[in-house]
Amino acid sequence: MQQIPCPWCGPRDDWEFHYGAEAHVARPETPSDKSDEDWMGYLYLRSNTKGPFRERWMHAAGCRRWFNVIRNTVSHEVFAVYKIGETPPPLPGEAPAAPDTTER
Amino acid sequence: MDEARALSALDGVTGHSGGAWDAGIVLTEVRFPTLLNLRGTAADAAFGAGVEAALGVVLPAAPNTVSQADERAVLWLAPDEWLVVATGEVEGLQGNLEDAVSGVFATVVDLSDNYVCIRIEGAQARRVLQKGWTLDLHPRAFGVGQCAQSMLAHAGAILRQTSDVPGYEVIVRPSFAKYTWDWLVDASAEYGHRVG
Ligand SMILES: [Zn+2]
Repeated sequence: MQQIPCPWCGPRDDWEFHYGAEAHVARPETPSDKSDEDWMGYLYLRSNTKGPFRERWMHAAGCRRWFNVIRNTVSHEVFAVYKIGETPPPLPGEAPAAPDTTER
Repeated sequence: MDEARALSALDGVTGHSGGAWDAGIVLTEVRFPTLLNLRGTAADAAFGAGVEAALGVVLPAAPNTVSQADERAVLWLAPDEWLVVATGEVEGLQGNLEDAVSGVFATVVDLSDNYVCIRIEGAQARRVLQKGWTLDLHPRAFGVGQCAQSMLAHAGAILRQTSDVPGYEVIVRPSFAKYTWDWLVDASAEYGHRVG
């Protein structure tokens, strides 16, 4: 059984969670300016990362809050968990990231 | 005209009180507690003070903990969400709480009809629950003053420990009440149960 550490509730079994796909996909600030290609990118195109990946999870059976996880999509190893709006921790082997301004 | 009478989803399910005096498990429906969903900003001192003034209970800040004073309990559900569980004299409780937090960013919603509360108590109560509850209920991990939301035998539930006997309260949706009761009865079979 894989466990995911909810930032509030602690480690819980994976079936308590909903998966929310890639994190930090920012909705366009000025939607009316965007081309169809831009919208396709926002809506559909994801990085499909093999390896450490920033993604969203929601603790559905528990506190029902969304948060971010850095997870290896190959091994499922969880490297870090951080709340919405917090500065993303670096990916393994990566320099620290800039503060995230896409989420509130 | 018929007099208005409160109905529970467990009416006709629990059977009459009674059973072996030495049963390892006592199952009781806690009938019609007042359940208020409370949302607000934990860091807002005015919010916490208002809640405390209205309920006489300190708002629990730590995840999955319970503050209790007499017949008022406040369960942490999420960083900005709590469940008030009140029995006994509850007349005006919701209004008092609404008034107390009216000046801050907060909501109070009566969810009393949205849940059914079952108490399970007895020396073997922990063993019964652990058949369908994956979080550790051993005293080293869980005790009075703590609560958790997870699934009990696949039904979404709020669980809290209410006594060291041990005793617990299980709060489920009415649509899961009969299922949960029947499951608890079945899971208690090896220890024997009576209805409180
Ligand atoms: Zn949680």
